Parts: sequence; C-alpha cells; structure tokens
Amino acid sequence: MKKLLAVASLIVASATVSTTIQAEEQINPWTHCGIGAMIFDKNATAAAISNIIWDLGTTAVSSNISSKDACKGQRVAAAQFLQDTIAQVEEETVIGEGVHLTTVLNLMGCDAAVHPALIGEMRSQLDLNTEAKAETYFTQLEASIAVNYAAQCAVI
Amino acid sequence: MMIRIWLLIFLLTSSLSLAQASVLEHFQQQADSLQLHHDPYWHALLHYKKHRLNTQRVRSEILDDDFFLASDGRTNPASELQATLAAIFQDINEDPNQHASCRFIARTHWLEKKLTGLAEVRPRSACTLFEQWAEPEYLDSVSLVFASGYLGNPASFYGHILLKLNSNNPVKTHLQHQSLNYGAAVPDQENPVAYIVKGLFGGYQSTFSYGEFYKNSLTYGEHELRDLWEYQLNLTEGEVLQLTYHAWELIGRHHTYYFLKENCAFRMAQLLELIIDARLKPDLQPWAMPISVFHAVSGTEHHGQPLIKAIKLHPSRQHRFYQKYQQLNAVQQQALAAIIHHDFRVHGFLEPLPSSEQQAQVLEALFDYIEFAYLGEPEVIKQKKQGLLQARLMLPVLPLAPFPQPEQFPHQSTRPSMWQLQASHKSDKFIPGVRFRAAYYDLLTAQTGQPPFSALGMFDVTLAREEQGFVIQQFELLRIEQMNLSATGLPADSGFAWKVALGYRPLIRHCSDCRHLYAEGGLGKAIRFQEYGIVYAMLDGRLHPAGEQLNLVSAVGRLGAIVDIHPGWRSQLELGWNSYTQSGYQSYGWYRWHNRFGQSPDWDIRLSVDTIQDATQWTLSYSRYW
Repeated sequence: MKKLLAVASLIVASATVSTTIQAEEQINPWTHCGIGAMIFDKNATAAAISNIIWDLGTTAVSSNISSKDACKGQRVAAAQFLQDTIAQVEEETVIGEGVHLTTVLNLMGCDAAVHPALIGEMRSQLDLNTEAKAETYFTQLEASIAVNYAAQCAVI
Repeated sequence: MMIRIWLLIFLLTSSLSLAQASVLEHFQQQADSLQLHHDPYWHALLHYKKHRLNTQRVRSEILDDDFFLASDGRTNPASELQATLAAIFQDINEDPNQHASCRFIARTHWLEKKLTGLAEVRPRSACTLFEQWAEPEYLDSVSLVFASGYLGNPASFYGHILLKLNSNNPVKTHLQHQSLNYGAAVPDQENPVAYIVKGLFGGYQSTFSYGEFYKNSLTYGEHELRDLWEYQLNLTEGEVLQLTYHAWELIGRHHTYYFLKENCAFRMAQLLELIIDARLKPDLQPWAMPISVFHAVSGTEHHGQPLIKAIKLHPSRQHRFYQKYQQLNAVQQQALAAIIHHDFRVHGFLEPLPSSEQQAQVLEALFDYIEFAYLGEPEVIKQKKQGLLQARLMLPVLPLAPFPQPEQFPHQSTRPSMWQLQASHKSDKFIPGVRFRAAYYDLLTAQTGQPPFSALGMFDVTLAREEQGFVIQQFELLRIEQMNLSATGLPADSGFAWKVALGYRPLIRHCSDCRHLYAEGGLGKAIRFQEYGIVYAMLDGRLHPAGEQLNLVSAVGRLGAIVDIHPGWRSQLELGWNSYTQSGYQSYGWYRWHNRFGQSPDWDIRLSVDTIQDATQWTLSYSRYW
C-alpha cells in the first residue's frame, strides 16, 4: 500500500512538474514578456544623448516590477538577446561561427560540443525572408534542440 | 581572542534579544573606539565630500534617501556607521535581499574586516540578487573600457568610460559579462540649449546602471560606430570583490551631474580609487576627461606591477569593415565595389573569384559595409542584406580570421590639456606668448582612438606680449574640424570635410589689435593618400559683428596638406585667400606651414611660419600636456 501511495505521489508530483514545464514552454517571450517592445532604443542619437540609461536594473529587479517569474529565466534571456542582436546572430549563422551565436547557444544551455552541429542545422533552416526574424530564429532553434539536442541543452 | 568570539557567539545564539542588543552595543563601541567613522574608506563608501569652507563638515554626494540608514546619515558619518551596524544585526525578514548586509554589501564586508568577531556573529542572509548579478564565484578581473569620442553628441565628444566585470564562467562569453555605466538621465526630446545649460550647471541627475556587455557593444560599436578599448586591470581577487561589492551598492543611485567635472570619468575614477592607491581623477582642475583616467591608470603601479594587465580592442562595425576591406586583394575589392554599384545584387560578380574563401570574404565585408552605410535604416539594411546572406549561406563554413589587435592604444596619445610657451618673431620684433588649451587635440596632435587628421579644441587662449603688455591674442571657445576621410573610396565611405569654430581674434590684415568675435563654419573635401597624409580644400564662411571696416560676413578659401613625415614629425601646409566682399577691405592671400616634433604623450615642440603677403611670423613653441 505504502509502495502504491509512493508511486501515486510520484505520478502526481511528476504531472505537476511537467505541467509547470509545459506552462513555461508555452510562454512566448515576445507576446508574454513584451520583449520586442521594451528597453533597447536603437536610435543612435537618442542612445547617445541619454548616453546610457538602458537598464536601471536593480531598482526594477528588487522591487519586482518584472512580475512574471517565467519572464526571468534563461530561456527568456536567450530570446531577449536574440531580439537585440539578431542582425549579428543571423550573419554569424550564415558564416558558421561567431561570439553572438555562441552566446545564444550558451544561453540555451547547450554543450559546446554540440554547437557546430546545431549551427549546421540552423544554417539549413534559416529563414531570411521572415519579418519577425528574432522570433522565428528562436522558434526554429528551440525546435531543433527539442528534436535532436534535448539531452545536450539544459534550457528546454 | 577566540574566547571573546565564542562568548559573542554564545551570547547571540542564546536567542535573547537582550543578548543581541548587547552584542550590537559591543561592536558599536568597538567601532567608536577605533574611530572608524573617520576612516577615509568609510567616507569613500558613503561618498562624503568635505564642505568647501569648513572641512570638518561633510555631505554625501549621493542624492537617494534610502542610501542612508541613519536619519542624519547624509551628513553624519558616525551616526551612519552606528545605524549600519544596527541594521546588520536586524532580523532577516522574508526577503533577505532587502537586509542591510545585502543592500550594503561593501559596507558590511569592510566592517567585518575592521571589527573583530563581527563576521562570525552577524546574522547571515543569502544575497541571491547580488549572487545572480555578480556570480562572485566566477569573477575573474575588472576592465576599464574607453569608448572613443563621438561627434554626434556634445556630451560624447571626449569619449566615454565604463566598467566591465570579467567572468571566467566557461558557459559565458564576454558579451554576457556585467558592466557598470554612469550617465545623466536626460529626458527624451530635450531641447539642445537646455541640454547644454543643464549639463553644465547641474540640472540633471545621473545614475549608475548595469547591463550585460553586449548592450554596450551594440550601443557604442554598432549604433554609434565607436571603438571600445578594454583595459584589463591587474587586481587581486579581493580587490575585484571589493569593487564589485561597492558597484552593487551604487546601481540605481543618483548624483548631480556636471558635464565638465562630475561626469563618467570622475565617478569611475572615484570608484577605482577605492582599491587603488593613486590619484586617478582631478582634484582642483575644473574638468575631468575619460582619456585622462586611462593616462593615469597607464602610469600607475599596483603591488609593484603595472596596473594595466592587457588591452583589447572591440572594433566598431565601421572599423571591422575597414579591416576586412584592407585584407581583400584587388580583384576582391573590385567585386565588392561592383556589387555595391549594382545595389547589392550579387549577379556573377563573385564567380571570377577563384575560391569559396575569397567569395566569402567579400560577402562578409559587405555585411559590415551595409550595416554602417545604412545606419538607422533597418528596413533598408534588411532588404539590401538579404541576397548577400543567402549567397553566403550557399558557401561552406570556413575558419574565421581573428581581428588583428592594434599596436597603438589611446593612452599613448598626447594628453588632452595643454600649456604652451611661444617665442615669435615678426617684423623685427620678438613676441613672447603663452597658450592654454583645456582640451583636446588639433590637426597636428599625435593621437590614437580619435578620427584621424581631425581637431577638437575647447577653451583655447593665447596671451602675447604686445606694445601695451600681455593681451589676449586669440581665444577659441570651440573648434571642431572633421576631415571625414574615406578609407576605401566606396560610396558610403566618403563625406564632406567640415569645420565649426567660435572665438575671438584678429580677422583683418595689418591690424593685430583689431579683434573680433566670430563664428565660423566650413565645408570641403579631404582625400587621403596612403596612411600618412591628406590633402584638402575647404571653403569657410565667417560671421562677425559688422563695424566700420568689416561687413557681417567674410569668406576664406583654403587648400592644404598634412603629412606624417615621420611618427615624430607631422607637417601641415595651408594656403588661403580671405575675401571681404562688399566692404572697404581688400582681399588677400596667405600661407602657413606648421610642424609638430615629438610623439610623447607629455610634450612636443612646434615650429610654424605664418605669412600674410609681405609679413612673416616665425613661432617656436614648447607644449606641455597633462
């Protein structure tokens, strides 16, 4: 009976965990966390005049302004990085290597050993015609990881 | 000693608030007897500044009330220290990050070092926010980063400075390292006049902000096309932590911003002075410049070693393009130019190139070209780049050549402020003179990290002895000359040379004491030949108060050349024609030949000849820079 109870609780627990993971997976950083709309001003003049002020970080973090916990993880950090640096990541993907590309894969928790293979896959799938470049890139990267590299990438 | 500590631990763990109170009292008394509130380090942590007249009185420069734990902490170091100890001993509530020992982590660690037993008995809290931000277990070193000058914004003319916390976390690249930045909080769409006035006279608050280094790399390197020079400092593990602790305390804190002195250079130097026993910021001089901090750091020894451990250049997008372009052979350069000429359609321009590698090099150089040529036009970039990306995707992955690191660095340039002694000879008269320039460089200055063959001068005054004694021979509030040189001859890599100047000096011939205020603007074209010289043609328009002899406007045409004959000898020859249309004044021609000898950051010798028709003035000068 004890054994049965333990198994039952394990099943309940694992169901709860997988629900949580699924819930996190379903979050789209662009629509749920407002990535495309926030922070980084690409207007050179404005950025120069304020000469910084892109992140008053601690104030925001410590006062919990960013209220969704799901928007604080590695996955969303990877999405944010992609949103900010998609021009560089796209170039480096067609070239086949680069520090921005390595950073994205690091943020997705992928072992360095699988970077070349994963980059090869991204090269073969890269959609250069899409309007939502960063989001499309992210979706394709997640899909590639889920299918072939789930064991080598921690953030999935 | 151990008995005392165990006694303290026993008292505290006896869980009586009375015991806790007496332990606190013990440390407060200890701090008091050691006079810790007079310690310069405590004053530095609280940013206390002495009153100008009464040096016994201090006031913190930090404007935020919650930076202080005592109600009079802003002006009372002793009371703030006692209150800090009391806060450290407070119970840890639901959010440990809000506990004083997490919010004021540098103060806490310093007090632990100073007060025996404090580390063992104070309540411990996990400072998770700090841990996430700094990852102290991976903190490796600290770098000071110089962003080269940017003429798109007056506040950035003189460069910028920020701090980078380097991590040895194997799964992080340098783009993910934390950085600390400091700048004024300027409202969007601020009126330029208000911007200058408020910037000069303390109308803005400034703050420390943080972010991963890639944000700096984007802002400065990609959007403003500024090189980032990273100076890694030779610090001990403990010093890196000390600096990081205080950096954490400063994030989001406000100061009053003064463009000239209490600016990014001043605050970053102040932060470094916490751990480096050297003067890195000016005391009496009413201005502070980012490059001066790098000069100071380069001349500093720390624990018997040079303070600078290594220097790394993070080149701007434009710089990367130049580098890649120079590495192309002539056929590749022709292919690149043809592709640009055909609106970035690759057509058959790559086929003549013998290898995939050569084709890839052309395409990769074009990525950089488009990004800098169409800066601020994301849709155009996207459209023009698409075919090139597609073409590169068709080629194999090839080994990437590392960006070659330079041999000259900004701190090796001439220092920014100048005193100059002059001896002139004109019409059989000897004229001694003295010149002072607050900043920064002229067309002859030896410098790295600024646009080549350019000038940026501010507050430049020359006193010369004339018959009536020493008089202001000339004064220039501002001078900018930007040659906008093309390194490649490609369409987007060329622009007009331009100049602006505001000042007061003789403007007409044969009347050295007829000085006028003037505003000058010039436009022209400069062409580079090889690495060592330029030729230029400029047309300047000059506005000055109209008088009996002078109309409101005059014009100057100039032809010139500047040549680096040797790294220690730069020579400028300029011929000009002053034209005073519709006035009683006759137009006249002139020429000048100016030379700089020496390439030390600290001094140079200049020899110049200025001839206006039949009158020639020879000047020999010795310049001292600091």
